[in-house]
Amino acid sequence: MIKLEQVTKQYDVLSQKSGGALVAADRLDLNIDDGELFGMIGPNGAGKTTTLKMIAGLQEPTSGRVLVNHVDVQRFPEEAQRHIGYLADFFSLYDDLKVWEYLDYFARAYKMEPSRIRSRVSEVLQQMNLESKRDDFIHGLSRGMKQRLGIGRAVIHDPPLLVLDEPAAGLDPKARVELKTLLKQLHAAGKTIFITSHILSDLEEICTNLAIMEKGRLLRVGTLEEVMREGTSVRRYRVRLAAPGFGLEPWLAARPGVSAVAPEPAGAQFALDGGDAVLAELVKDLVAAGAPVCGVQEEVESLERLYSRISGGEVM
Amino acid sequence: MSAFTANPEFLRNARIQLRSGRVIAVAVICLAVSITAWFTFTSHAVPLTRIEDASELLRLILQLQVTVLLIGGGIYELLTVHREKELNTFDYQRVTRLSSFELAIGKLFGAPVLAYLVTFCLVPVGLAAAIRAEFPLGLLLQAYVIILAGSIVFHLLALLISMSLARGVSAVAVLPYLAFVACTSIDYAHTSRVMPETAWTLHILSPYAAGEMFWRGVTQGPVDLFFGASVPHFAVLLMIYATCGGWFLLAIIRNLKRDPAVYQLYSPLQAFGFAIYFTVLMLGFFNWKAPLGQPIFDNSYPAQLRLLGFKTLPPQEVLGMVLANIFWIFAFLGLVLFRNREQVRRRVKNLGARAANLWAAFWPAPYSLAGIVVAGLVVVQLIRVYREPAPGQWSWGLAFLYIGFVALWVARDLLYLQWMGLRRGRHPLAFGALFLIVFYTCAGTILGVLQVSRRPELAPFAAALIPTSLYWLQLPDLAVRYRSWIAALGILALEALLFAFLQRAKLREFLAPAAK
Repeated sequence: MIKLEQVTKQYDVLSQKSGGALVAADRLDLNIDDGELFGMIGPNGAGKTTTLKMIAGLQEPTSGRVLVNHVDVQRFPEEAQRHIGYLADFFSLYDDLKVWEYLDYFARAYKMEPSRIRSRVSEVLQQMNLESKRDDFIHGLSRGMKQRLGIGRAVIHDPPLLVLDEPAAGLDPKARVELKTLLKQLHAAGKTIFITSHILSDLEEICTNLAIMEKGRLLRVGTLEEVMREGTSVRRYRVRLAAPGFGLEPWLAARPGVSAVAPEPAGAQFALDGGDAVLAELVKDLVAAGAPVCGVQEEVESLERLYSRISGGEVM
Repeated sequence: MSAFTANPEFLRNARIQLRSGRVIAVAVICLAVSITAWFTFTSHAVPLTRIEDASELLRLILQLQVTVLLIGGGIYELLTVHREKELNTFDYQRVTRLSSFELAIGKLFGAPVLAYLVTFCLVPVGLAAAIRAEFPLGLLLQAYVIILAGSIVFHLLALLISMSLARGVSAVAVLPYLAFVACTSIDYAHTSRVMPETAWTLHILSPYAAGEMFWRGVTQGPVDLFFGASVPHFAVLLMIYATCGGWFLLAIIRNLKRDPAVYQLYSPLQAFGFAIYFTVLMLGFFNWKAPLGQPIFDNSYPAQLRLLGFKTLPPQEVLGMVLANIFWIFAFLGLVLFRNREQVRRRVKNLGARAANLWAAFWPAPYSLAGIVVAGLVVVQLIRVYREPAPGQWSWGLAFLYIGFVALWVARDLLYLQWMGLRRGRHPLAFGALFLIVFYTCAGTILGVLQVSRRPELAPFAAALIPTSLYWLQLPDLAVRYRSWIAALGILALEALLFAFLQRAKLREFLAPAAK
């Protein structure tokens, strides 16, 4: 659905730290397949918004090519934009319009069939849970409602791709839960969603694929599992024993492929180089050696811990 | 009408501005104004004739309608894109499937829709006044055609300005727009007893011309001279509105949906065409055939009597005067063609080393140079044909020297500004312009105090810095100091070359990281 080929975007800044030049996107290569819910994380200034804007055709790359649904965004922006629903990282609506007028305007601007517009506006209002606000002026809506209306605008022409920049920013917890549910529904309905967010737990929960971006570069890209484990086959496990007495720590330390053994009150933590088969072999040998094993659990690093470990969090 | 209602951007503006309460308020206010004006003019304290009353009223109504459209509608138009950029709503319009043309048309007629409503509501009283004044309705129709077509052109200009503005400077943009309205509302062909001839033969260019058609019962529109031929002002206005509107619209639709970092109003050839078009207009409406003159002032008389007469200009001064206008036209052409850092980066990525070749180093001077040389030669030929200068009044050498200086002067300053514009900084071009102003102020003051320009032996040196010294050059001095003047021209060319060299060095800096 989205393909970035060596996409670079340079700006001029007067920051001494960067020496005056800023590369917001540095030779990015990225492939996002149909139906993915792709999350991009990174600190402020990492280049996420620039990347999104280049995908939406709002900024032209300094070099490289962006394809959306096989259409070159730079060469055929209007053709590409029919496939894209875009939401920026700020609330910006026409306050003097009524809710239905706002959606009607964008339905017409996306050149929908006039006969379909009325029913589509009603459908989107229902989907966004804004039916009761249909004839209200936008300036009277709450922040959460405005954000839902913004998403309604992005989906009004039923695009296969949604590009959402920090949609949860500034929302209260209730509105965030509603937003998450809405995104899951849209994803389930077959939309490909490209989203950036600072709320990593939200992304971890809903995204099928992730990228970590910093200083204009993609540090890691893949499924959540791939991102968590990328670059190493070593996983951490915790083993628990039903009763004390077995010399678990020396047994593990003597085992090939095992490292970083750390004793715990009823067991130990260790790192194992290898996949599930190697683990199964180890557990089988451990039980055969007489250890009263009552549990083996993989210790998965949270996205937030992984992010803070691999990202300097430095803003350019 | 359906074309408008089918345009979503027009419809959005109309929905916001023409809510029923506001429409009723506008209609009531316009009715009150119409009734008040009617009774004021028809029950005049000083008895005028019925026709005079009505023509005064008609003129007032037309001027009011023009003011509402040009100033009120123009300010709405000046804000339309810029305000959307400030509110961050413009990006959402850019990602829709509306073409630049559709978006531009929607904004062009949508932003000032309230001003159009006010104008429409004042039409009945204007019509009644025209009937009472026994004016031909065809003339009234012409007036409204001028108002409508002229307003569209001025709104296109305002939309173009609005699109081109950086964030946070909308208030500043109102001033040049109002200045433009004021400049085009002057009657440049207005003659009087003390000034029987004017340099230009073009009457009021703005839609205020509509009101002047009915001034004191005039029932025939004014006439302009185009290369000496009489053309009705109405036809001239329609031609200028149609062509200028086309040029403005072209710049808007080329850029409206593009990334603002890579806006380029016109392609080089389009910009060159626009400059040539403007030059043709300027030359066409210049008063070639008449013994051109300028008013004579005498400060020893009270203010109202200072204008004492009319002095005929020699051909050399005519050449200087016309070339000064050509200077600004082609300087503007260069400004339109300037490349910013982002555009140079993209050229470097696409073209590699070719982005820093000789043609790029001289950018955008060749277009301006070529334009000035061609236009200058045409001016010389026009002077020869229309003015038939006497040998003592005219020298071909002097004419070519004028053209050479003006061409190289523009080239030097454009190359300097382009080089400055490629430097890293917050507003490099603005700083370049500021330094240029400082240079002219300092150099002008020093040369003025020392009276260098007026001393024939030193004038060529002054001209190498500020070529206006050429304007004081007398024909006998030229014959004596021809080599000095040629040397000054050479120095000016070297200055231009220096800035081209600096620009090339700057372009190579862009090239360096790309090669890594």
